[in-house]
Amino acid sequence: MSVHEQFAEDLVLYALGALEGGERASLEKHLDECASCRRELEQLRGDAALLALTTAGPRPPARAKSRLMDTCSGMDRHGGNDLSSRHTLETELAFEFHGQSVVWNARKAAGGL
Amino acid sequence: MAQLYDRYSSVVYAVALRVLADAAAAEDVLQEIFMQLWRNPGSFDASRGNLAPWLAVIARNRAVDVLRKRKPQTEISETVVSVEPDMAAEADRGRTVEKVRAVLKEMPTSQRSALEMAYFEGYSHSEIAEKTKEPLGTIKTRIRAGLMLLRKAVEAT
Repeated sequence: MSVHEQFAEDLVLYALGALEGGERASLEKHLDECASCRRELEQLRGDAALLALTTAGPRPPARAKSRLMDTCSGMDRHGGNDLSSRHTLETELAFEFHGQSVVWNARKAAGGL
Repeated sequence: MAQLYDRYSSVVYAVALRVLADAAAAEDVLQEIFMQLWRNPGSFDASRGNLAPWLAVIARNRAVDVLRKRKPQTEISETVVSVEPDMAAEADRGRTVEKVRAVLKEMPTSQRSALEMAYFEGYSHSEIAEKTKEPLGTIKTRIRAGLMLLRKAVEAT
C-alpha cells in the first residue's frame, strides 16, 4: 500500500487515538485529501482491533442482558422498516451461525433476491 | 438482538473492563453500545469487515472516552475497521487471537507497554513519552513497530 511515509508514524498513533495537537490536525487535513492514507488508517484500526481482541475476562453479569432487552423493547428503532440497513447486522450473524444458505434465505425473504 | 448479544457481549465487556477496570462502568459501556446497535443497525457495514473486531474497536473507543471523561470522539457509524484475516467464525477468530497473544508475549516489554498505554489506557504519545521518560520519537517508532508486528503475525494466517 502506498502511504505517505512522512505520515506513517502519525497514522499509527491516530489509529490508536494517541495523536494530539498540531500533529493530529495536520494529519486530519491530509486524510481529507489522501485516499491511500485513509485506507491504511482502516487497516491500522484493524491491527489495533487485534490488540483489543486479545483481552479476556469474565462474562458480563446476567442482569446486563435483561436490562438491555427491557430497554430495547421500549425503544424506537431507527430504520426499523429499512430492510437493507438491517441486513448489515443480520447478514453478519447469519454467516456466523449457519453459512451462506441462510443469508440467501434472509435476502430472499426481504425481497433482495 | 438477543443472538447478537449472546455472541458478542463478552468481547465488548472484556475490552471495556480492560480499559476501565470497573465492572459497573464496563457494563454501562456494554449497554450503550448494544442500544446504539439496536437503534441504528445500519451503523455497521458488513461489507467492510467483521463484526467482532469492529465491536472491539467501538468498545475500546467508548471506554477510553469514559475513562477520559469526555464526550464520544467519533460516531460509531464513522468507524471503519479493516481486518485482513476473516474472523467471522469464532474458531478463526480464536486462532488469530492466539497468534497475536504469542507475538505480544515475545515483544520487548517497553514496546508492548507503549502499545498498551496508548490503546488500553488512552494516553497520547507525548504523555507516554513523559511517563516513560523516553524521547517522543522513540515512542512513535516503538508503537508503530509493535503494531506492524501484530499485522505480520496475522498476515501469515
